[in-house]
Amino acid sequence: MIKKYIQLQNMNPTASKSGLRPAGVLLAALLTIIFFIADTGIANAQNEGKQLFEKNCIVCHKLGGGKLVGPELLGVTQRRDKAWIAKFIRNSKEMIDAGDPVAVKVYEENSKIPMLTFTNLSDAEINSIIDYIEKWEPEKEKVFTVDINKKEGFAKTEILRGERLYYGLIPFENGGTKSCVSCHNAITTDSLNWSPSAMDLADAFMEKDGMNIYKSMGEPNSDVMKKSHAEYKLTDQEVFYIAAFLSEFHQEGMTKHKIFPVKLMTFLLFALLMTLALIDLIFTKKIKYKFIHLIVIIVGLGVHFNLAVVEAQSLSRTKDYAPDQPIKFSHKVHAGDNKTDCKYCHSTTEYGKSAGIPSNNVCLNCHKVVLSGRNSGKFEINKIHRADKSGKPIEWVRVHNLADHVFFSHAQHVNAGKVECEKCHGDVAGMDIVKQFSDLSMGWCIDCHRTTKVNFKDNKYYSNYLKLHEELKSGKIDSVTVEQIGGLDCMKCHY
Amino acid sequence: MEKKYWKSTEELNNQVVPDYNENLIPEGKNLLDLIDEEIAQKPSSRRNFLKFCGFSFATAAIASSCENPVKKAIPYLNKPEDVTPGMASHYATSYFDGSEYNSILVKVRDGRPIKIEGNTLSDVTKGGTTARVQASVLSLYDGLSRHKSPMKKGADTNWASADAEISASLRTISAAGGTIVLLTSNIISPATKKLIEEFKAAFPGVRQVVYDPVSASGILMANRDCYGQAVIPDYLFDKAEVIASFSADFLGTWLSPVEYTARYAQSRNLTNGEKKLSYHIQFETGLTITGSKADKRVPVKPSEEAGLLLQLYNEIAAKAGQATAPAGATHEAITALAGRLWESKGKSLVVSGSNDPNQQIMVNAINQLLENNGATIGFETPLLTRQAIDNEMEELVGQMNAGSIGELILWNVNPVYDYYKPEAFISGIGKVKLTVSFNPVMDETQEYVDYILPSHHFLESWDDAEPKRGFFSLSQPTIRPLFSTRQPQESLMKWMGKEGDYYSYLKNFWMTDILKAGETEWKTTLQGGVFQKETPAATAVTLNTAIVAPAAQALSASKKSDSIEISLYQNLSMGNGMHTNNPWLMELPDPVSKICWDNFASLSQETAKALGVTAGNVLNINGLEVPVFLQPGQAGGTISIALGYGHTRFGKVADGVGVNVYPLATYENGTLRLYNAAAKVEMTDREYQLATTQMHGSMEGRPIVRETVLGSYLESPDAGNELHAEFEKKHVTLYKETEYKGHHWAMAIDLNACTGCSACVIACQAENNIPVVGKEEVMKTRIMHWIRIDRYYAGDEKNPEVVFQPLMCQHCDNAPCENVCPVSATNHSSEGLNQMAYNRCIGTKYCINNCPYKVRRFNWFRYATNQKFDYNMNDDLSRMVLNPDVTVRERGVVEKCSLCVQRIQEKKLLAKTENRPLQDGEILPACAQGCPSKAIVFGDLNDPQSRVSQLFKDPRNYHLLEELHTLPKVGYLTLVRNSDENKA
Repeated sequence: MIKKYIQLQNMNPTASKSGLRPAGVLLAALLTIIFFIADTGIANAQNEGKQLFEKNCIVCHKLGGGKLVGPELLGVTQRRDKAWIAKFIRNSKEMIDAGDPVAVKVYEENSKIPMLTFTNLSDAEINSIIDYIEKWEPEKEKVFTVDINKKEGFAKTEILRGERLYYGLIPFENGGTKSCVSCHNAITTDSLNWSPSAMDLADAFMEKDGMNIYKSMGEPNSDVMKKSHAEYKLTDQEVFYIAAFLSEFHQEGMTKHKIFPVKLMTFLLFALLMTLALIDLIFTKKIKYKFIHLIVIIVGLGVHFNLAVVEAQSLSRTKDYAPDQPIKFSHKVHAGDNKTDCKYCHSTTEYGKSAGIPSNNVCLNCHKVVLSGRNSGKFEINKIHRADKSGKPIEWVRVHNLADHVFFSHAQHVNAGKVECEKCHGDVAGMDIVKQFSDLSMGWCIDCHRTTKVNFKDNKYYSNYLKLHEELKSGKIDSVTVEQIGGLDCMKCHY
Repeated sequence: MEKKYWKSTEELNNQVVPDYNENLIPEGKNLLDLIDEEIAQKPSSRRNFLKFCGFSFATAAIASSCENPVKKAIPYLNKPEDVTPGMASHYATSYFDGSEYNSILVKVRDGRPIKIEGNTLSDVTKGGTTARVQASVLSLYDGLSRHKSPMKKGADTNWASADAEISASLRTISAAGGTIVLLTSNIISPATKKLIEEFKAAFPGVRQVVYDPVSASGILMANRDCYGQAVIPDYLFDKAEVIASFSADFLGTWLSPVEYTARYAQSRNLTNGEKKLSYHIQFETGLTITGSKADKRVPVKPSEEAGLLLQLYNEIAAKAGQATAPAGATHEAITALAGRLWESKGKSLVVSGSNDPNQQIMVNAINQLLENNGATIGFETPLLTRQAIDNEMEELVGQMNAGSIGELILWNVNPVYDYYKPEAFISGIGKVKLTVSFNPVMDETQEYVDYILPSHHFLESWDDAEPKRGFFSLSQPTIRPLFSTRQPQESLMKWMGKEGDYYSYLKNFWMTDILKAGETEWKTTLQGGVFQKETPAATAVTLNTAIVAPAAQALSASKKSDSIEISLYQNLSMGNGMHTNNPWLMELPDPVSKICWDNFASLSQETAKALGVTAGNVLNINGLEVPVFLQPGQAGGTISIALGYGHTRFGKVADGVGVNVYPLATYENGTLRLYNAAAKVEMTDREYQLATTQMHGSMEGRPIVRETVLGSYLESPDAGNELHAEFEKKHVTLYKETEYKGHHWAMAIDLNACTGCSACVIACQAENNIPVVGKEEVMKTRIMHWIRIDRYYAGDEKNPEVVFQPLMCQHCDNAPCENVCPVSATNHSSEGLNQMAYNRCIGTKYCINNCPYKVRRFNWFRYATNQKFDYNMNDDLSRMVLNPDVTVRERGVVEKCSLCVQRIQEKKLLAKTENRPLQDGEILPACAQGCPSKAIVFGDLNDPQSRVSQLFKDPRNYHLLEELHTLPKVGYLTLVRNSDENKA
């Protein structure tokens, strides 16, 4: 099996560019991709050929749609002899080595990327694949009863009807216990929801050549969606209404989830109490015992002062900040379950100041092939492809914000200092939504600099520190901390 | 040591310097009265007090519920392989502005060029830069004066229609036998030259006229007559033991200053056990930096130079036993010089900055007699940056006025501003059928042209250069064009109907004509930026002696004048006026006069007295009103005024600053002279205040500058610096001495090498995001520069000795500023840096008060966002030039030199990640990097092998005010002059 993956890796032209280090990472990533496809790629198996094709061939070949890694297979049965095809599928390498002219030609035409061998398949299985290829026809366009291209200019009644359907105020014709809004939230939330929000849906729908809502409601395109939409058989008319609603929603935008301002209310309450106490103390004089006024005022001032101090301390500190991201990207799936190395995506960590948010093409290295995710189906992954098509990069929300007057270099910490990512970022591999793990305060930096030991003997740079080496040798000190090499100097971080 | 140094005439004569802030407080009142009155006038009451209370409660309430802003992180869609966000890349390219050449590296951060550094691979400029080169990156982001699209008669147009109309008209004019003139600045690009030839072939009738407002016609014409080649030879100042310069400011502005400075510094170098020092004598009118560095400086009137040259020729000819010319002057300095020159025959060099071909012929004759040709003057690799011959322009203006020019294409020239007869040019341009200007920025001439087809900024362009024969270099874009601009070369190609762009033309030209090699060589050359053909073998040149006698005859016949003579010069920042709109350069104090934001008439004390004027008065010179400045060392009976100021249509910074004195230039004997003996000089009743940084931090006569003469130095190397050893002995302390266990950074500055050229000042400004504050603030002593060039005069006021001393934070190990800071915002790092934490600073300014060197600067305003400081730091486009690695300081904090700690940290990190020790010389602060004479050395004192450690052990090394036990970590090496006395 291992051999296969290595070959697969070679097939990916972008992988070889990324240098040596990510190679292992990529291998691991591809390993999961294979299982992924093997597990999830099988659509309702009607016949064996289709099943086998989707399991074994679809990674590199397309049927009607041009060349992928390997050549287009539509019409291959007319171009080549079936027996030859069978032989080629079983072991193309042998044929090339043997000098079969057609095989060599195919090999050379496809950038000399060898095809996998399929010695594990029986003759019958291979033949069923060839049959499937031969008989394959593009799917017929479904005929819809409504204007599926309409994206704007819906009538008011249509929008209203769509809104009611969406929010579950009126039931669907063909049943379905929950309404759209139960999964596709229409206000921002801070909890994890893998389903696309109403805004996401509206965006995707309104985009030029965007989501075909009729088609995807008719035949869900991923396992996740199939499962969740199993009980919903919406009529074209209902989808039309919902489309009308989404069009309207797109213009209005998402309502913000309001958080009750506890602190402000406490502040105002005590301000009010203190004012009343003052008024009573000076003018109305209803309460006889003046110590009551005093207590109210003292407590009030105390609360205010406490609020001010706590707020001032946490001003611009954002520990536990976990904002919604434009893509429901899960570090748990990528770094945790699939064990992708952090540095594969955050590739500038070792030599740059910033670890680097991966550019779209890095995502596509894998997601060219992995088209469906386990939590969110195809919808979220599609956003990468949509960005690629529209040329507009994805605008992620920064989680870790260091003040502008602080200089911080990942290269210094990760590469020179050999600090693990988790030390500052926490167990990112366990986070679906990344949240800020450390408070990134100066005290936190300094604490670490005081205690962390420097890799003093191994890094040749430190050979300049003659006096410290002498002290080490004489046993005056047993190790060197960051502090001892100037880790607490202002100008380490501020200039 | 008895020498008295002084910084200004006021100081020398113990006069009180007028305090311009004084008059703010009326007489008979003190400050407290004023404040009381002011308060009484303000409607403050209990009500207001309560309002403020309510306001502060409201703010607290808002603060308690405020949210942090959401910040976006937007990655690339497809990350280019060579770009790493947050990391700089360097691209090699070439700077050429029409007169000055520099091979440079451009530091590009996230797609934005932010800093220019010298390219050490270049054998011409050897990594040195000038202030103007350093500042050129700022003009890229000048969104106001750069054109954003092509224009036709003041209205926006598009490239396609402009091209169609111009090429049609070119064809008609050319077909009708009309003349089309390409009026260009000096062009040193071989590819462009070839393209112009092709253009000429495509359109018969095309003629190129090279125009340079400050040309070298005199030398070119003299050499054409003397040697048969109109070139500027290579002057090898490093090989000369005696250098005599007649008003050639070769360290500042003459021909190729970066190259000459490096060579000159080599001949003045006394480190590494060197014992030889060249002898340099300068005859000049105004005091230049070259004159300041000279061992002997003789102030002369411009009209006297001819006589001096004749005298020198005669005396040397007599020694050589050759026929003499008509007698010239009888100056004793010349007699002494002739003797010295004759002694160092073949190892001497005489140069002249005059534009009179006859004087240059005499200089050639003198050098010939001294057998310098082939020794200190080389003709193998002549300088090609100056090609303009003045009479061609003269002829053109005549033809324009006669109506015989069909089309005029202006390429990097602005004659309406810098031609000496602007009216003649304006009336001429009106008679030209079609006029096109390629200038990227608006200028005076464009008011009269039909089409403006703006070119790219040089940092956006492809180009090449051959500054000296056989020395090639390439220019490549470092950013995509910001506006809809196009290279002039591409316009020519379009009009000729040539396919492709200039890049492919250039590449093709290089691969076939210059490199004669393939893609790989092209790429490696582009990466390094320079390419050098093998130097041709030395060819002996022979002087055409027949022309010497007529030249001498003409010189002796030239009239002597007794009237006041006006000498026009280029200063270091403005040059010929092309860069006047650059605020960095505008605020760069002239190293000699220490004045910025104006040009002025320099007069000697005596001349001023004779004219009845004093500093602050305004003179009327031929109708131009110029403020008076009393310049020690100015030749009697002369007035020097800088060119390059007085623009009227050049941009927000340049317009209305100073006076345009080009109209004072005169045309004589086929060349333009930056000289006028017939000007009418009158006094006016106007007063004018110049912004000077002269009295900032006067050193009160303490032994700040230490200097000696060669004779004493050879006897004992610590001559003039005896105090150092004495003070070193006294450095004792009760406290435990700090140990620097890792690095201990230090800097050494060789006063012998420093020429005061100020490249370091602008390099520092660019690197450290230093704001420009404007004339008014400079007058309030609020200039922000972290490094300044202190200038001291010594001796006779009529002809003082001048010393330049670059001064930045001295990073004292026992810093007086540190222990007075109440919040410990400034303290000492474990590597010996005096560090400044801006976020901690509360602006008490105690440190400024306590710093004996006066190097700390206070931020009075939020310069980066303040519309009142409209000097290219206050809008989104120009802020792109800021260095992201250096904080843009807030209002109310103190700042100062950090020894470029960001560069130190960068290189340390690089060494760590590459698992190797730090190399000596790897870290270069911006000032050291840009210095053309490599006067500044930075390094680690804890490394005994480092250059800075070696220099600190040099007997010439001393520290400023070391008697205060501040223990500075900046050392200076005493200045050694090869003085006539040679004994102090």
